[in-house]
Amino acid sequence: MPYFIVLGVVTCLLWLSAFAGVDFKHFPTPKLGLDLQGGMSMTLSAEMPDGGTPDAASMEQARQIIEDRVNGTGVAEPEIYVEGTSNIVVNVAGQESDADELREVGAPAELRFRQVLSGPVPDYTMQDPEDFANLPEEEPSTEPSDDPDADPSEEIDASPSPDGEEPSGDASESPDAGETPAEDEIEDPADADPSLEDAREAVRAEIDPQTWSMAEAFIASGQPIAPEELPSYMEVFAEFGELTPDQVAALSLEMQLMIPTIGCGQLNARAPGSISAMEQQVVACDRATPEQIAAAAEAGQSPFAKYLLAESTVEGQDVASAAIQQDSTNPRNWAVGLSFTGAGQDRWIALAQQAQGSQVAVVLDNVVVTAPTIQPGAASGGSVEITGQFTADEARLLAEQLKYGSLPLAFKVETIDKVSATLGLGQMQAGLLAGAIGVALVVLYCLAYYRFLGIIVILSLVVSGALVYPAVAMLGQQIGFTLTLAGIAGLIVAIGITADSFVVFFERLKDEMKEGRSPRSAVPRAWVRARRTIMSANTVSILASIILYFLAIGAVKGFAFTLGLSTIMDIVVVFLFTHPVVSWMSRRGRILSSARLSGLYAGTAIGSRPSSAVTVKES
Amino acid sequence: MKRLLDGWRTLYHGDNNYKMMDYRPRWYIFSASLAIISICGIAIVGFNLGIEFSGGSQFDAPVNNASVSVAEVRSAVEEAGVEVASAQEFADGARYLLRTEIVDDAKSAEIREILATELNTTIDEVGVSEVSSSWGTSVSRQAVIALIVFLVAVSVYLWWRYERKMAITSIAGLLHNLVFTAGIYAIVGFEVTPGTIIGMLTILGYSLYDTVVVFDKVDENTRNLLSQTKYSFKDGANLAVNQTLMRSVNTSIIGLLPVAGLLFVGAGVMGVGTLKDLALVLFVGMLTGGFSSLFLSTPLLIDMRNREPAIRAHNRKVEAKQAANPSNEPIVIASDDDLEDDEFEVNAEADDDRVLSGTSSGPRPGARPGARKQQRPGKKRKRR
Repeated sequence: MPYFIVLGVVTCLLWLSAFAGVDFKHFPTPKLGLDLQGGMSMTLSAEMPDGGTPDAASMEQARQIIEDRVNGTGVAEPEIYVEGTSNIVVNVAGQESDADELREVGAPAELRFRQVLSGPVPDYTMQDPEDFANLPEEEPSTEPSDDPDADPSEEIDASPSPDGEEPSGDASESPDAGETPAEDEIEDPADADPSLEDAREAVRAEIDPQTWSMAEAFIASGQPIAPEELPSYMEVFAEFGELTPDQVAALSLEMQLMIPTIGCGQLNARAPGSISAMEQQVVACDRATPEQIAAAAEAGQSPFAKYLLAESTVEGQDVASAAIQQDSTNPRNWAVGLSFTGAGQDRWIALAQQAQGSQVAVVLDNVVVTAPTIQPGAASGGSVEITGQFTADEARLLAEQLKYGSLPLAFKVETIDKVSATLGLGQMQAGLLAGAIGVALVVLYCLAYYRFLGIIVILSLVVSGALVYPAVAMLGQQIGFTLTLAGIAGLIVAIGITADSFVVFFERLKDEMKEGRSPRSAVPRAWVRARRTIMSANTVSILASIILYFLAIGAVKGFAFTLGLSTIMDIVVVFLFTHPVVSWMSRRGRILSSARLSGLYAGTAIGSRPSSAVTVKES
Repeated sequence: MKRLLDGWRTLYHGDNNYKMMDYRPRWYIFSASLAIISICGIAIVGFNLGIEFSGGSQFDAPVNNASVSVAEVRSAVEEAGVEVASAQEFADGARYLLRTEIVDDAKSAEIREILATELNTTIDEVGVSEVSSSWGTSVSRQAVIALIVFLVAVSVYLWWRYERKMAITSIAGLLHNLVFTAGIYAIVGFEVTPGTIIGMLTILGYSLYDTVVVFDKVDENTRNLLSQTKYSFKDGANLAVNQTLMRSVNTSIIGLLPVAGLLFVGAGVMGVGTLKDLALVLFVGMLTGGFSSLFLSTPLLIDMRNREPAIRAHNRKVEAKQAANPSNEPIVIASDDDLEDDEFEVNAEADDDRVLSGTSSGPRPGARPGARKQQRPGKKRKRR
């Protein structure tokens, strides 16, 4: 009896959590895979600086990194392939709402480590990066960054606020910010790329000449902006706030950094790869969590800050591994442990020694992910810890970006769109039909072979189904486990594997009864031995699924998951349902005693071949 | 028919006592020839890799005739004799995407023509590009690493749970099983898709599971082997195979019935597809999985154990006893937990044997080792 209670509790819990996952709004359904339900498709195209075509090896390398990264986010079994010569297609299961998620996990990035030369310089604008993110390149923006001009008074109130995310005092106090514009220190990217000079001339032509010369004078003076002067600066340089991201990219670094009307919205929306050149200094913004953005918006400030960054000596490909770990000095926080490859380690040590005591920015594409201060120990070895007030999620995201951020090419998201199922519901219905046929055949066979015990087999399979279904549905909601056609087939095949436990038990029972025991004494004896066999055999299956789950990726991981799930459910069912029922029957009913009803042949009931006589004592 | 029914009835009642383990050379020859044929098949014919592994062509057509479904377009292209790996609607049905096996220029033009006609557009509007494999080498590499780790872990487990030789022979049975299934694929030319790989992994677990069930019984039957002289290790193992035969048959049938359902629906109703790939590999693998547990792993285990000095000595004693007192009585083996109950006369006999062997075999171990070592190779050959 206690077995049934435990089983009931387990079943109820599974169903409850499955229903809780959909907020009790509708019947929980498993998340279906790309092949059955369709999903989102993202096309990434490689951006070559010279407009040429990337070589196939780099494309394949990039494809694999993206695949690792998408796979790293769960067991969703994405499909990633190279199309043509310069496109990579990423397909994941799911509906429209997942587009942002896909962009986040799938959009590749280039990782650079750069010493911070100057900053953080506060972003005085209230640009919303979203306004720039989807802005077509050729179309000049008219509406963004209107906030500072439209209502400068808000800016004044906000800027001196000492409790803000980026107090303006930072900029004026920071010695770096003041010293930065020493002309000889800062390189001009246009020196290396003459085409940039033309682009800058084009921008200059758009800006009022007087404003331009004031900007140049302002940069040359190297004066920090005093809080009370800010509104006038914002007004004077308003034109810069209306430049497109690409126009901003053409400006000199001093301008990008110091002109207060150039905001992070513009800087972050520069074309992918525009600051990836390792041998150039760049200006980039950090990023903020949604909470920081909300807090800053409340305070009327921008959550971002700008940095001037040195040439990069360490890049993504130098990172050997990155993993989330406990902060060694402050165990309540999370940190990211980094280790470098052989050559990368030498470069890292050189960088760390040079940057001792100052900050090194980790730059992913156009954004500073984090800019930790280099502690004295960091230059000593190949393994480094990045600490900060990270939550577990932040640290995990950072670790993933560091680990998979080493793409050999720069990519641009070309399209994100819905795709239908590769196989479609027809195949799924066929799969379910096959399952129904299979189950029907198993049921018929069990009934014919085990007669009444066959009913117990069927009931056990029903219980097993009642356990597996909510588990699959719940895991789809919780960890993005998707059910592909292969997974459905795996579950159908698992019917046979589940039924095997019963067969082992019943065959043992038959052996015991053949030796002349009553059902009452045969059941416990058969159970003790069958249990050992079932556990030994299931241990092998569980071992297989655990190892495959943790070591394998992609479809193999999904398979391991299904195997492990059905094996565990098999154990649950046979321990908590099948055995208690049979045991109960052996004590109550007479069914088991009758060979005709139970299919258990009790020794002398039917004549057997003389050659196979068995020594049985009459009971 | 009568014999078949009789045989089934014997199995059904669990009265079977076939001397299967006396024909070990026959099973080895059979297994070895299967393995050789499979390896030759893999080496000479090679695998027919699906688009997921070898890459293919992608056709991208705008839809000007929304009444034509993507499934209809798919079957139109398939009628031209081209294998279609996937057919999808893109952007809410504005475009259809078809991925096919790699096609030459002529075939490609033909497909574009078909798509243009079906979807009421021009040939120039139908884009075609090459697509790479979507099954990354990293997936394969990780799968192989995971497999190796699994084999090591499972060997350690079986070694700890049973013994070293059982671990070795069950892995041998497993490898045979995989090689044979792969061989069938190469020879028949079935397409290898991700579904096939998943199926192979399922077989792996299934095959080991099956072997463990048999070995569990062998282990139980031979636990008190050396304390009696009525039966040898081979007899104990043979009995175990007989005892688990019905279970193996039952499990195979119950396991194969759903797979047969998949195969029937996958191949018969739906044509090509994941279902068929999976069902085929499972069908072949499960059939051979049962076989290799009973007729490869167990015979191998017997021969490996028979090389052990203690087992050899014991075999000789059993042979002597059986020669002196020939009987056709089947062996009854008392397992550990039977010792406390007195229902069986056999137990009394077994106890007698224990006393006997305890006193009479005392001096033997010291007297024999030298002679035994020299005998080993010769004796091995004589047995055939």
